[in-house]
Amino acid sequence: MKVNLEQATVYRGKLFVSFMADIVQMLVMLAVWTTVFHRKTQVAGFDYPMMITYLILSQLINSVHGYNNDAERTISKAIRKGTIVFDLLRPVRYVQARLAENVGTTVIQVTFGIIMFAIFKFVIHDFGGPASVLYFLLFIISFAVGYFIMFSVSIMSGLLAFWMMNNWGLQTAKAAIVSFFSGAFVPLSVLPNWLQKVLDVLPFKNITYEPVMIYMGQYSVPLCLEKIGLQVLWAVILWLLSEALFHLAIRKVSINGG
Amino acid sequence: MTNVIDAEHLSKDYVVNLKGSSLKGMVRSLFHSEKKIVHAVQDLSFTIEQGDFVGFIGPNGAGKSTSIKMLSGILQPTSGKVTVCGLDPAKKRIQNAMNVGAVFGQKTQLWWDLPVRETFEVLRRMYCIPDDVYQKNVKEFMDYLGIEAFADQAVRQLSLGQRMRAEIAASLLHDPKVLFLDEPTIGLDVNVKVSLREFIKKINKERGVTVLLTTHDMQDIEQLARRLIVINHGEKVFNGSMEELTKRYAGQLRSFRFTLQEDAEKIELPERMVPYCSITKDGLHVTIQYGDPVEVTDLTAALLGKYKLADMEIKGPQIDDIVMAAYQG
Repeated sequence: MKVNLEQATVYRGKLFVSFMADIVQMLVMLAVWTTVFHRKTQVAGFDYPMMITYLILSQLINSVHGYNNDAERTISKAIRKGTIVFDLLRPVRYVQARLAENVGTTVIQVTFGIIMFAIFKFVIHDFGGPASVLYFLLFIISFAVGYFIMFSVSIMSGLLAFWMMNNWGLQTAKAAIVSFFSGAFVPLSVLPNWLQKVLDVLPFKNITYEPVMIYMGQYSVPLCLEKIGLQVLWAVILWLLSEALFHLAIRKVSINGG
Repeated sequence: MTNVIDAEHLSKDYVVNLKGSSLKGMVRSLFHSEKKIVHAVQDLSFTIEQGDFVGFIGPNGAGKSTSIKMLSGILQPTSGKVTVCGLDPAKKRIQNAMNVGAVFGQKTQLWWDLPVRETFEVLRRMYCIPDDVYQKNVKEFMDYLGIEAFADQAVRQLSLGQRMRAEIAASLLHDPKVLFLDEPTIGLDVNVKVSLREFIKKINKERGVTVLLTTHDMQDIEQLARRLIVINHGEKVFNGSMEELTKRYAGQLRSFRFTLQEDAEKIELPERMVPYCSITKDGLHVTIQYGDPVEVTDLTAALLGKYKLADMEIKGPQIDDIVMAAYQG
């Protein structure tokens, strides 16, 4: 973890630029929704300030999660270049090691995120605070659990490189699907009913949508706890799945390059 | 003496996807790919005793690296059994990792962006190395390999020689019982090679670390290995000492070269030696390659009486030639 923190600071330029790119994307979406709200006062139960709050927060979360993709890139790069040899040579459990690395970078990302949050809070009038201190604490927990879910999804998509050697296409598709299905671009409640039903049985909405809804105080406290319970369940299931996939993967590992 | 490594009928197959080189072939491979099974290692059995220094050689693609990866728990054998320090490396990967150290000359195990000193720190934590052991090892390795001079530079800024010294030190920090060296001297200059050899020899001798070394540099083998395992096409072709290898494969590899004061065309050897010798004539120069049962004394005795010899040179078998003979079976 410390290593990655150091590596991340080596590449702080890169981190900063990609964060800026996320901000630009966020501003574009804010502009689009502002136009929509010129004609309407409500969309699927969201009024304008709510929508702004939702978008800013979900985008900030999404860009923090964006760094989960690093785990996936690390794995597929290690497989392609054959350096997976050294990961397997160490007396360290593979998936845990990737998590530790990832938490390292995430610390930086969260710091960026908090700074951005503060700036937006100051600049954008319609950006609302958390519903209450209690909701804010619940949000923190929900966000953290969502982080583990996202991490496991990335690990699994990265491990597929054992079978596909180059899974760049898959990663790109995964990034798009997860961003959309997690609710990073639009609140899931604006989507058609049938799609919402599908998303209810998938883990993705637990990554971004649920934490933001909790922050905004859209659920009663007992419902929040229920949602968080469900998140924890998903986190455990996906973690176990990624461990299982790892064991399956190393059984058939072939090492590139000598 | 106990066996540190015990391999029984070890085999590893790879499935390789074949891609056509033509456009048609490439399009076809999008839909279904032809598969070929490569037998990287076949039915390999050997044992290595504690404290031994074994040279593991074979031509490129013979299966050396694959074998080492199976011994270090990175690859699972397709069939067969292996134990390292009594553990199955693939099943007990993490416990096995504490017992072994490895250097793969073609890859780096150091963190590209970290200084060498920090890298050692990371390894200390990964392997939970006790403080006193760590301090002692770092000091010893840094002094002996002269790492101190570049310990604060990022690994990406090191020369190959510096990096390889750091790699070997890194692989030994946790006091492994077994050290796998996969082409550690590849691409190094003579000075670095010599100092690395001395260091490895010292580690083997003083700490009793069992070493398995693969290399294409036969001087590494000559100066370090007490025993040799030769593999080719994934199969073991030889297991024994350097002397035995020489005996078995040297054949007609010894040569006796001399210059005559008269025309070399007339040279003839006694009947009984002819099957074991081959003669190359070049003006006044003659080279006779010979092997058992002919000895150099027989040759000189037979020739000195009959011809006027100037300038003589006797050459023993060259290790490169012996190994080449062994590779060819």
